[in-house]
Amino acid sequence: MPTNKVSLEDLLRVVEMCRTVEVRGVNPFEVDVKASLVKLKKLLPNWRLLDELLLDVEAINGISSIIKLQSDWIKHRSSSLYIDPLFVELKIRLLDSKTMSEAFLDAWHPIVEINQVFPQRLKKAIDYWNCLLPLSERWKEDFTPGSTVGPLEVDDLIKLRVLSMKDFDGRMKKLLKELTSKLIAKDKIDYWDFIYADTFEETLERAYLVSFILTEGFATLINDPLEERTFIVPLRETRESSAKKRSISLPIAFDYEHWKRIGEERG
Amino acid sequence: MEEDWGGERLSEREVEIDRRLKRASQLLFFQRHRRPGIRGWELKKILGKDFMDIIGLLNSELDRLNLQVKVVFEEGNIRDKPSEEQLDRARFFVTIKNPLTASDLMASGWRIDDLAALAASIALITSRQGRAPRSDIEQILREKFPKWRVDINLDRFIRIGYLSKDEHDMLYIGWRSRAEIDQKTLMELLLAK
Repeated sequence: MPTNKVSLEDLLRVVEMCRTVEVRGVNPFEVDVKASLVKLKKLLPNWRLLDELLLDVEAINGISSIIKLQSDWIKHRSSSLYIDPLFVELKIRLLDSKTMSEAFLDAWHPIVEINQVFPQRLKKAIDYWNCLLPLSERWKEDFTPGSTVGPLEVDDLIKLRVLSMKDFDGRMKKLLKELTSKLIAKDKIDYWDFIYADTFEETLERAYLVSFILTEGFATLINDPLEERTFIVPLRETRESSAKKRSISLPIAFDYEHWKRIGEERG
Repeated sequence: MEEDWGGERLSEREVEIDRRLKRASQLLFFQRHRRPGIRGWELKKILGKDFMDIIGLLNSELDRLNLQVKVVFEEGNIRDKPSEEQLDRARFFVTIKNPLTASDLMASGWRIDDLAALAASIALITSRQGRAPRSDIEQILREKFPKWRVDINLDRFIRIGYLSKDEHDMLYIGWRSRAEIDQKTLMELLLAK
């Protein structure tokens, strides 16, 4: 038992040494990798508990990090950037601020960037400001007793009379019918080809309705990373079995400029 | 007839290149995200697969204005021709081409002391393989600057991206330094002084 305790201390020492070299940035060649590996190999038959084995794995991991550091060290030393750190420290201690900043100026190429508010964005901001109710009135509406903060669902929009259930259902079914008939003719349809309409508003509405069609499991989206295209494909599994699988959300950014570009591409 | 038709096509091509050049300059100059610059894959998506040709053209136009397109690769300096994947992951910036003058420095709003502290930090980190404990840098800087100034400066360098740090308080060369500072020149100049 005491032997095992001593062995465990040896193992901990290897782990700690690797960690110190990694964190302190000292010369990784201070670690004798070969001797450490021989030691670990010799100690391995002593380990019985899971914690001991895990510590052994950690030591191996630490040694592999040291080997990587040694490789980086050699690469750096052989590169044109290598200068003895002690010599650099000495130079920095000897130079005054003016000389240092002069040297820096000759090696400095600052990034050039423009921060500007465009007239269109400014107009949107003014419109927003004009429509914004005073805080006292907004608080009255937003924080009435019992109200909770959260995103608006379709039900909320129906309650607010922005949308009617009949209308929404009808539009979704119509679009689903269109999608189904197109998917019968083709295996897959380009997402943008399908949602694109003559006006931006109509395109936006189609994109919104398609998101519900996809969420309901009537179809799904696939991405072609090589062509950077997104396709709508029919869902071949039942809704129940597909629901058991892990689903992911796919955000699709879309604005007026994008819509215009699609229109131009389509001629 | 054919020549006319050919001439018209060439002009259309020129118009197209001009449009893409303008788009490229907009993408590179106007800050779109929190960090300046734009990734290669974004440029490819917007300008097309031959985006590097457009960047090359833009670079020659910018040269007249003492500006350049700087490509910073995730892998650090690349000696050979970069691969498509490396270009996709790289970040593209517009930087000033020739070094600034002392009067430019006055206008930039940087104090000489702060620039000297930045130069010292970068030189020390570079000499130690691109990483050094913050305490070591602080110790050297405190020989010339008061503690409060060293703390403020190091925090500021980290915030604006000249340096980065990890959970062990180890300092590294930051993304902005890799875009703006010619480390080799800096080291050579410091040692030559």
